[in-house]
Amino acid sequence: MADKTNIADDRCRVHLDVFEGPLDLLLYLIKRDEIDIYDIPITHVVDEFIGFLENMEELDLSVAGEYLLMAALLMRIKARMLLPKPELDTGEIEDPRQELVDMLIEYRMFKKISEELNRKREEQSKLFPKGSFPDSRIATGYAEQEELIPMDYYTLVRTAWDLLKQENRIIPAVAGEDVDIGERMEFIVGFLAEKGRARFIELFPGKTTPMMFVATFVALLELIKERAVRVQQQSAFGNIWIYRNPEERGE
Amino acid sequence: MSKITKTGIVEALIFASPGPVGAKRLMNIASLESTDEADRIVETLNETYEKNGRVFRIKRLAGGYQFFTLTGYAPFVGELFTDSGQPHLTHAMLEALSIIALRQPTTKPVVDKIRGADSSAPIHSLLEAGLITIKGRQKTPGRPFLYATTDEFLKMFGLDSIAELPKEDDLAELFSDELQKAKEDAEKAYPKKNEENEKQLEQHEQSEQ
Repeated sequence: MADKTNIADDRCRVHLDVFEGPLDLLLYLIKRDEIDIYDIPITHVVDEFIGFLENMEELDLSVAGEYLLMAALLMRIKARMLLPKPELDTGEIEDPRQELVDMLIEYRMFKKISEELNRKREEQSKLFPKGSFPDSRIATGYAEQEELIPMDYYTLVRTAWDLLKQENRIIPAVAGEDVDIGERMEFIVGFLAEKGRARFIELFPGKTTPMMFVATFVALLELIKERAVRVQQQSAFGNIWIYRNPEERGE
Repeated sequence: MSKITKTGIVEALIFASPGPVGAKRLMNIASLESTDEADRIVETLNETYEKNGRVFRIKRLAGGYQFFTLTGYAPFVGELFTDSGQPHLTHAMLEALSIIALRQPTTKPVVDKIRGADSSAPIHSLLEAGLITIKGRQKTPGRPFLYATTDEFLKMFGLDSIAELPKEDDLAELFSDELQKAKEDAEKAYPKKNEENEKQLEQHEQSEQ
């Protein structure tokens, strides 16, 4: 199903907010293009990096200042690569890329550590402490943080939309289409009553119109506001689940 | 009733405590000689559980002992709880947390610099989740807050102390193969001037004359 237009779209589909910052984007480019981190072809990287930023501007998304700062740094390195290189006291020739390489390596190491930490957390979450006291986990746990729903809704919508599009399940808007948010809310509640929990994508069983997609998302937000449902991600890399909020807990 | 032993007392204390029991506490109540003895007793207990096919072990977390069910039973025990009991952690939060954990106490500018991105939001969320805390202010311009990890962090990540965290040096070693390869490549790309090359060059020049 990956026809040519899809492949061309692919590069635009990688959005900046997928990245934690300009260093993350650079690491992505380095990995994607199988670049040796100690010998970065700076011209190629500058072009790719700026290409990404331009894509963002086309989509009318504001590019964060830190990306522009990195673009400036890359341009400076590129310029210095063209100039005669000053010799250091030690007789070695200074590589203008050194500062960038150091930054990338340090960042990559911490990325690795954060993955390792996340793995440790997942392991630990499978160990349940002896909980003879009803308040040992649920009450003193993180109940109050649930309300914050530290969820990235943009990613939620984006992933679902991309997936539906990929599977050709988005159909053009129907003239005179009548979408009722209240009806979508009822649908979500009914779905959850039956299944217990749902992924956002599951709320679209067949084909859907853009209008329907938006209405379902608004309905979900409405339900969250009413505290009828909550949205949670088990881990930074996990599925995003929608749960029905129990009316009374521990029945 | 069976004979009361030190091992028995340690087991009883850990069993009855609503939360982790510190080694010092065990040492005092059970009149142990050292915290090492507490460690040894816990080890014996765990061996007994294993031999008898019990589904729990005593684990030392954030400096205290606590009973935990075995990993394999997680899907079943998890059914008891309405939620995972864990706050959501984004990549940004995990990155900021790793930096703070390894460099603690440290400041937001340090985290920002390593991540190459502003870290106000993840740091704020980490503070709210109780995984980090403010340890004071650095005596540098702007007097930025100093952040450090909490016991809650150790508990969530299954650590006894921050000494168990992966070390930067160990990780550098992970990448060292790559560094070695890079060095070799660099040498191939820029070979050192050796005598042979120079001789050839001289001969070449002579023949031209």
